[in-house]
Amino acid sequence: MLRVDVPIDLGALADAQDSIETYLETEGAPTTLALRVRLVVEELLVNLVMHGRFAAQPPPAARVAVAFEAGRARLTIEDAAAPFDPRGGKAPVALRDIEAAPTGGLGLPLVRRMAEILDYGRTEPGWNRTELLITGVS
Amino acid sequence: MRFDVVDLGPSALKFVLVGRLDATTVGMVETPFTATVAASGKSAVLDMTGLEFLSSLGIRLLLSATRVVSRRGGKVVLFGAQPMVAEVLEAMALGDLLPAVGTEAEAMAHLLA
Repeated sequence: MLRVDVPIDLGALADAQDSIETYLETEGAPTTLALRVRLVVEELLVNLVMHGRFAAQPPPAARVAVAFEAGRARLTIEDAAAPFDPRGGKAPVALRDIEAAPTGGLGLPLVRRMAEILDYGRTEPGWNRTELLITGVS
Repeated sequence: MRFDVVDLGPSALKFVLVGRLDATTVGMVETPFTATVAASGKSAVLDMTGLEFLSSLGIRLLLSATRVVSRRGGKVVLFGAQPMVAEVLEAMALGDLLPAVGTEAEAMAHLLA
């Protein structure tokens, strides 16, 4: 298992993603899976950076853990933002009018398409905990 | 992340996207990409063969460029998407707004259709 603390800052994202991708490749995960995990990590952490509401400033780093087991990646993200359950929301629907296309809010629908959100809850006081399962095939 | 521009004639530009288009890199190309698309007044063919990774912020940039082109009566078509990129586009059900085909020739045919 790989554990990495990721500052709530877009500038810290790439290093964390690289570490996770390298870990998965080292463990023998297929590229498809490694890139899916990279994507899910990005979308969830970007959401925290852009929309997370934190009581403390600067906010504490998010705690990210990834384990490659039985051909799948189990991803856990803990953060100190205000409660936010990522399981809600609608699936993407086909759009035919570019003027109606969303200019934001694409990240979480993408997460829900790429990962199974196993669990969401509150752990320590003030912390969210989201657990996801990501496979390498559709 | 970088992009190169190739003039395909009076009606289209080709944008060759190379690298990863994500939260870390989108800021490097957002302004010049959108400005080039807007200034040309042409349709856009996006060569995705060198694009290794696409996240939601990258999609947002592509949709923004498509909106600019569409308002001027043009089209945007992608070709050569790598599996990860194709999967993201498909997952977001963007096939009607960002049609993706296999080859540049198919992309040009799509523009003329």
